[in-house]
Amino acid sequence: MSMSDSLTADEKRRLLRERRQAKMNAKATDRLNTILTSGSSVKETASSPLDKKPTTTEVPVHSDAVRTVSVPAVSLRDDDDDPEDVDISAHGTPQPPSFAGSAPPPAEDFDAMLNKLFGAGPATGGPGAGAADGDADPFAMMMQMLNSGDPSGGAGGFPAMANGAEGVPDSSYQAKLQQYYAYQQRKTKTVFFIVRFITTVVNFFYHYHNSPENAFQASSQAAIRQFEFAKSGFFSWFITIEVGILATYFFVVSSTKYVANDGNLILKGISMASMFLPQVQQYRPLILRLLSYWEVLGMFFGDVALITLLFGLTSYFG
Amino acid sequence: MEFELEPTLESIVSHDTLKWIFVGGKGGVGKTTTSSSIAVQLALAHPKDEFLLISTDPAHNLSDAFCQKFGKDARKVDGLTNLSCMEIDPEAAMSDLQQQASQYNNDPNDPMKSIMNDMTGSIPGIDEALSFMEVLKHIKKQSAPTDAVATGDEKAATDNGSIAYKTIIFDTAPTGHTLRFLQLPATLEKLLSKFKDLSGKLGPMLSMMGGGQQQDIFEKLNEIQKSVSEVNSQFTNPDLTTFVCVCISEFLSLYETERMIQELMSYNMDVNSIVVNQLLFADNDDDCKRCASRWKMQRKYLDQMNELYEDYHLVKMPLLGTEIRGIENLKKFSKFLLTPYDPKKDGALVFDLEEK
Repeated sequence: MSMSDSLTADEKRRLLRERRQAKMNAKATDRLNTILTSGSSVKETASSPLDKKPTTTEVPVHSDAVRTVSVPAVSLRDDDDDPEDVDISAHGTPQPPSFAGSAPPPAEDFDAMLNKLFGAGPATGGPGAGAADGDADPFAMMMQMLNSGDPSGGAGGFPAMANGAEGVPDSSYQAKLQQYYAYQQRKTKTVFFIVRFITTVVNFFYHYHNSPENAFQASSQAAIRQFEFAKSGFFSWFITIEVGILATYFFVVSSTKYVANDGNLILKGISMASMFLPQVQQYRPLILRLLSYWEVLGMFFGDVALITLLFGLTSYFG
Repeated sequence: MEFELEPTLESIVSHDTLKWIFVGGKGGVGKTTTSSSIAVQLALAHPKDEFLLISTDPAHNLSDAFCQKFGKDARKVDGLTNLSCMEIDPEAAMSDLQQQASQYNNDPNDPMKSIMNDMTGSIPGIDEALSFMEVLKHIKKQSAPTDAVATGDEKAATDNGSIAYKTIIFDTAPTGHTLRFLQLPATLEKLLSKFKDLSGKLGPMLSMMGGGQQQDIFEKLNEIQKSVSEVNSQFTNPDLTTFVCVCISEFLSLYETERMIQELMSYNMDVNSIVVNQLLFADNDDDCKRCASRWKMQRKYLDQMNELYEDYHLVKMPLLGTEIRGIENLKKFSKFLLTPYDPKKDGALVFDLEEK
């Protein structure tokens, strides 16, 4: 006791602090488990937040406190000899002292820091643990928007489906949903492609066989081309069928909820530009509509290309 | 070496250099009563110094504890001229922030403005962030009047807007919120250094597009980073900051207290005192079987605490017969923080408090 009486209050405090620290570092998890056992807890074991603390270099900053300062590995050079190869990759700037006693996070933990700040709670998941990482993460939403276009829709340029995805996105669920939507869209396009192909080919060959002999052949004489072919009615049927099929396609895709984000470059460009110039957003619906019309137009030109090919083949082999 | 650790908070009250005292624990254990008691004892022990008690719990109770209305500005307690209380109001603080932000963005039709207004009010952790901003303000104020006193400018030193409080006591929210609050300095410091790096890379591009405002923002962020580093430094200095854990003698509270202490140690925060509230001290109470049974349960956990916390100041506070509200009741109750409660000598106080 006499030795303790000779110590000043500050020294006593320091010694006690070191003792507390030493006991905690040695037996933190055991202490928790002892409490659990004595309270007949249903939890079998506990793990201490101190056990999860990463090891870093401890540098005493204050006389009574030990703060962890992360010092990156620095290759020391002998100032007398210049090395043949100067490797600057190991040199870094010392990080500021960390309150949490951990090494500075790598760059990719930026989102984790923001999540922590906005309510993920202590990383140990202890009493203060809040929402799990990844839930309602506004920054992941923003990155998703940049990487894959507008998450609210607009794929393929159909504006009516712009509000297909609603609510707070779960990124993995949304990714799978987008894959499903893309699959549904591809399926619809394939079905209509097959229908268009079959009807065009049937229409062509029906009129090819039922028309006068020269009607479906190339001719240098305008009178033959105009007269003979005109009687076949092929183009009337072709246009009628095309209008019907394409209108049906447009209606089906407009009314369905299956909107996939196909990463259209123009839409991505608009999303990027709107970060700096928000006024660009007001043109988005117009551009979406134009893109939708362009797609239908593209289908029509494809069918025209098909009958051009068929005409060519019949003329060559006919 | 054996130390005799007094079961009181005398070391805290007499510790001259302490600037920040946090009082925290599980919900319902008596944090507000304990923090109010500590503040009262500090004010009584140092009548020439100013003290401030801040409630960071969104569900404020300070007004009811003192039976006096407090607000977002510090107000003196009736009956104790050197103690002020403050209840941080997140909504009022948010509107202050928005007013400050309007100097950077005057466009009333800016959709981002209304989005930010809606979002920031409901972001988890916003209460802790606002409390932290209050801490930053006080850090700045504490250096301003110190300079004024040094130059002999007493008027400036005692100006209402820049009172230098000797110690600021925080009545915190239940454990999880407090731990999140205490993580803020470290997290913010890392974030701000990231922003600083970004500003170096993006600054020229942004200033091309947006003019000088972005530069102002980055300068402001630099300023904030310095304050945050200062806070970081002060919170990890045991001569400046300590955390008083409040608990009751029950399993859940004990477990949470131990976890909290370990978590605080991982933050390098000093914890040297634990206050155990609501103790029955029913050794000689044969009439009330419930009290006797409950006291037996409390003793079991008390014995465990005596073993676990032999290097801490373990203060045992009684459960009184009525609520501890009002400055007079707080004065009577808080003396047991400095003088251990003796049921034989002090038992009369159990029923002696004024009813409110």
